[in-house]
Amino acid sequence: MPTTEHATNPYATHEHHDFVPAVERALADAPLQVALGRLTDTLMAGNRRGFGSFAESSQLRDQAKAIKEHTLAHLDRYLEQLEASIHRLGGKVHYAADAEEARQIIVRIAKETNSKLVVKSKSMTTEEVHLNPAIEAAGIEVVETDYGEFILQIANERPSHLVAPAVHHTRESIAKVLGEHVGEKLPNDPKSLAMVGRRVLREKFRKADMGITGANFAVAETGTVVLVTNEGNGRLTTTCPRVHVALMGIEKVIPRFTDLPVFLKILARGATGQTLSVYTTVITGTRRPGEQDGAEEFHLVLLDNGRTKVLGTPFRESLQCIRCGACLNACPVYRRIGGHAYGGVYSGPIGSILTPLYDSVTLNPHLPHASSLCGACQAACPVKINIPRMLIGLRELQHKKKPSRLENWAYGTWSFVLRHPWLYRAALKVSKWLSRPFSRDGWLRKLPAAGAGWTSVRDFPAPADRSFRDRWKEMNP
Amino acid sequence: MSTREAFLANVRTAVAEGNRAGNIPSHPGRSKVGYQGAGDDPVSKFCTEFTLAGGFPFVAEDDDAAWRKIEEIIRRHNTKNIVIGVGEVMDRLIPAGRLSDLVGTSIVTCSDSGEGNPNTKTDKLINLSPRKADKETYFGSDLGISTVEHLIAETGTVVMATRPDQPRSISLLPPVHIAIARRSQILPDLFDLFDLFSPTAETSSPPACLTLITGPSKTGDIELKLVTGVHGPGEVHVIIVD
Ligand code: SF4
Repeated sequence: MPTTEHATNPYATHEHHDFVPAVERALADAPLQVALGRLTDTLMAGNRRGFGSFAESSQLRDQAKAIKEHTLAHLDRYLEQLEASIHRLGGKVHYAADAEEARQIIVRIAKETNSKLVVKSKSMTTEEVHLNPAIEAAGIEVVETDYGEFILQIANERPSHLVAPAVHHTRESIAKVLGEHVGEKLPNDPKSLAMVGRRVLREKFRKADMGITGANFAVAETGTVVLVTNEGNGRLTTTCPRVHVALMGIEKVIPRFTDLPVFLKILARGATGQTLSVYTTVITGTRRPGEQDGAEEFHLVLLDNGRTKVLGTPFRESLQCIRCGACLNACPVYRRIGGHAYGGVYSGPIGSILTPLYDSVTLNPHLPHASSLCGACQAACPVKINIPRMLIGLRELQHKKKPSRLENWAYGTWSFVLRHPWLYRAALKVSKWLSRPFSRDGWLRKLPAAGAGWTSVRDFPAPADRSFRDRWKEMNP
Repeated sequence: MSTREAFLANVRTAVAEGNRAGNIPSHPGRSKVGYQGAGDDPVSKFCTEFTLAGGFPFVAEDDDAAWRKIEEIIRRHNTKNIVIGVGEVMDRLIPAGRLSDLVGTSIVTCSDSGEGNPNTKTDKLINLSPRKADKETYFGSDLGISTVEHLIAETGTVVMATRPDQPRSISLLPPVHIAIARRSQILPDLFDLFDLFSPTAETSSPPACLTLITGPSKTGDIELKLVTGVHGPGEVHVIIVD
């Protein structure tokens, strides 16, 4: 049954695991395969519809990229401007060099504001710094309020997609997890399950002292923080509690207020095909005099946690990511293995870059290789991030750190053969001759010895009867 | 060095390091790229997009038609507790006594003084002193009726801006939201909205909160089956009057 499957999946709870067994488990998980197909097909259709629906979408994406490139090249300046704007509005800005500092700062704010109950809207950055356990350790209750994240919190699991964190769950598994949480037997239909969530979370919003959010964007010029959600929990989190804390990676700042629509126009279209997500909340400071609701105190926590390590390198482009999830949906690897197998907070193609860079290349050796380099990610990306280039860059880094004798020998031989045409011709002949007993209909389906590793999971094209060189010679005598 | 200085120094060093490759692009500036507008008929463009997003638009022939629509929605939901916003258009559509004729319905104005809408005063009005008391009122309400700041035709979006008598809760906490807009409030494109609120010499800052609402609250977290109303209103109506 799918229910117990999920509950016992160790990869859903832990990071840094062996890639191959995690992948094998995902491939054998039939409900997961159904869920991934459904999600990624639907969202990719949305992505194509969204960008196909207006003529200049490609130029607009270029413009968004140009704004990000410009910002990253002047990031120091824009961060200082953002800080000044927020101070002008009466907010506070905090600087967290790493995850530990971010946790300390936020727990300190919670204590100083005498907060007993904290509500959170969905934020991958708070996942990145593993915030919740730290808040709980301080004796403060913290509740995730995005429906999917809430399910994951009570199931004690990690998100497995950037925008659909609980995609690996079925209605049965949600009914079980949520039913245990509220102590009732729940029906399996999505509407009732959603309404139970609403009931539970409404009570939390009513009582919450502090709301924690991420930030999709922050505008240097005005000190504005922007949250994009479909459920509305981002609005509740910033409207009901007294205190609002936003945790944000330094790369999320953009220069001007009028830059926002450039990104908003492509974010939802790229993620789901919506013209805009249901709620775009554009917050500039705290509640103004005479206003009835909204937080009275605002804190922005700026997070480095590895980002400045990347900023000065050719991997700087990865900091342009607006976390839309399109590259996950487009990726033939993600579409099969889902998010948990990757073993980092961020999964999919962009995760295969961010996790090694922010976390560690040595602890995540498999990630730069979890890609066929087909380029589907870059084509789907609203800001056209060249993910394949950076994956290759990471492979180079790995190779420099720990060169493989076998690989060196293989490429050495290969280049020697290529440099000697007669040898190349001879090698072709030999391989054709050697593979003949194994080939049928132009494919090698079962190779012995070292080749078996390949053919146990996929076929290999058999060498052609006549080589390209021979044909070329015939056509150009 | 304080944390702040050390932090920013790190950023500065990394920026300089990254820029050494020579790629220092300037800001591309504001351009018309991606401006889609609304064609000749912004009202119908808005209605099409808002419907696609799952909302219910209604273009009222006259004020009376608008009121009948409001009444129908209130009756259909068997509404007990209404919170109602403040504004000239609201006074026009919901004249004195009208709401109180709907038996069993209690009406709360979200005017900060309790006096913003002269018409609601004649209704069974609960006077809200700001804060504390009103939080519970909003949590207990079944329906919110508000004005809007703008509509955006391109995306089918309702724009709310905070002011003392325009709280965030009215379009957020009740399960049903009715927004009343005038035709003249429709903006063709998302760009137009941000141009309007971009800081200028006179207005140094956008409102405390601009909320862009494009359809009812949605979640697809359960097997991608679309469920509305998980947090925000599950039903959003826009009534467009002249
Ligand atoms: S890399 Fe591009 S496609 Fe992937 S999540 Fe980031 S912005 Fe979206």
